[in-house]
Amino acid sequence: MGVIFSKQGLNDASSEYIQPVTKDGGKERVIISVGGGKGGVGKTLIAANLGIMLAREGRRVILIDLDLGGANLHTCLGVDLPKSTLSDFMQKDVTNLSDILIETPINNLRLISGAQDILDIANIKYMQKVRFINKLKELDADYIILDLGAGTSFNTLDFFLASDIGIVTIVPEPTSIENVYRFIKSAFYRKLKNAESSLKIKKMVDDIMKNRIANGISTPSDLLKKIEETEQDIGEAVRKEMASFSPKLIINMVRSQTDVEIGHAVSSVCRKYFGIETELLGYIEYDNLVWQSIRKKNPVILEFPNSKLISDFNRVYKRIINPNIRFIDGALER
Amino acid sequence: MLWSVNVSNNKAGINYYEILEVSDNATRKEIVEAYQRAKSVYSKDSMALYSLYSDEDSTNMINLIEEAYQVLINPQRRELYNREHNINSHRSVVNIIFDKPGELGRSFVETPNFGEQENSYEDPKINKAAFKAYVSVSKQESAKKAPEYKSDDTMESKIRSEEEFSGNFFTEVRKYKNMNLGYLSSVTKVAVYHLEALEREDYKTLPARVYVRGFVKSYAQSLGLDRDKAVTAYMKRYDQAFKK
Repeated sequence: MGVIFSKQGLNDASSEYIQPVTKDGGKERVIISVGGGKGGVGKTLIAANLGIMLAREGRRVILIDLDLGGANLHTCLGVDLPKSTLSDFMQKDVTNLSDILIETPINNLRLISGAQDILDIANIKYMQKVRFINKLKELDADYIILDLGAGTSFNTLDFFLASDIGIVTIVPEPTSIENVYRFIKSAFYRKLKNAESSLKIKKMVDDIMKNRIANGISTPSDLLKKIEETEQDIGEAVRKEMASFSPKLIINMVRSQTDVEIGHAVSSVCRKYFGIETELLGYIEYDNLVWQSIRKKNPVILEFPNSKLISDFNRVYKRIINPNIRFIDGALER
Repeated sequence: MLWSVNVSNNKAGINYYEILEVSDNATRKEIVEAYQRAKSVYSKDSMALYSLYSDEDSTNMINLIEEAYQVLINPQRRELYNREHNINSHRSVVNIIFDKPGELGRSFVETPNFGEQENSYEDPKINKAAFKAYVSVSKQESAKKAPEYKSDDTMESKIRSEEEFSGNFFTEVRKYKNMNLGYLSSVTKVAVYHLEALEREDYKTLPARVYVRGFVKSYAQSLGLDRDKAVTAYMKRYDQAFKK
């Protein structure tokens, strides 16, 4: 994660829109991932609607269904069962990701499907993953959106960490909260592991963790503090590295003001427990229209463009594409 | 008295401002609001704690929140705590009380009224002479900690004539004064990653404006810069960046 956002580089009527630019002023492709650990929390819905909204504003968008084993992004977009899928790429039947791109009914929006894959996300081998991530960066698009699927396999975590904007979807239920924390915790340690090798601190972390009780370490945040105490300069470097890990939170299927406030509460717990800053993008109210649109195999934004759900989503969308717009009050708008 | 226990225990790594998630310069109103929010987030029945905090963890956190509130809501205890922890909130006790005279200062001077919380508010009976002696010792102790550096005329004159107070300038002065971010963080009580973001002018990762303002103030003060000028210049750029 770490795209430089700037207002340069785009002459656009939609002034709220911010296109990241590369250092030489060119447009940067932005990789957004949508995860959250648990199934059925709305990851696919959010990924699909985000993709459609961007595409409608003229951005070239590629949606990639990484929910292998449970892929149904194509259904949400009203695309028939795709013939080419990620399996073809992983098994090297095709060389480039562009060879398995599928057009969708929406202009500017294309899809790479994970449907009918014999592969499970956890079974993608290391080299396959590296090849995929490298090829991802060659895709010709403004935005690439990864629908991550459930679970905390290393591959899912690595895709999340490889993205510029990592979105975590939460529904106000203990099961979702539990999985979100598991997801964030796994991603945190995965990121720390990567930092360990680059900063050569594996031994230090191992020593600290071996005596974790004596060292008073019960949370990841304690671990960061201890590393800082042990070796201040390394501690600073680790902090810096971990500061770039800043998941964005969306609270989905909200039914009350208490549900809205869970977003702030989870942010606070992440700060205290993990020592990381999350950003609350907002909430989306529970809406029966979602299953109605799924039954019709038509994206909710096209089926019910004037619904409350879409106006909620629109606010969240603005915060995703323009980090200068922040979610502050958190009051449920009726 | 509770306050003396809190202050003298000096638990390592615990910062009351971080516990309540308020800036060093938080007003009484902000502290009360933060306290109510924190109590609700860390209560045993809070869903946000599920799977991470045991009942015992929750009780400990609530105790810590109470402790932080008891100290920060009381101007004298807060001043003492700030001294003890080298927190430069740049506010005298009077400033804290009269922060917003219309809504807060007056209510404090007359009859403080913050609803239920007021029940747990106990006025400290501080021995003024002991308080003064304590503060002066704390001051001396904190004075010892600043690292030594070699004075350079060019740099000193640059510091005097500085107008921009950019993140790069802060970094330059910090390095010139041999201060690393860890030290500065312990002095300002601002997390290292916030200080880094401040130096990078990475507004996106910084928290809300009110915190940033407090951070710049503490940071500039700790570097021995003109903090008012620094805050004005830095926040001007910050505000421009957020204008559409």
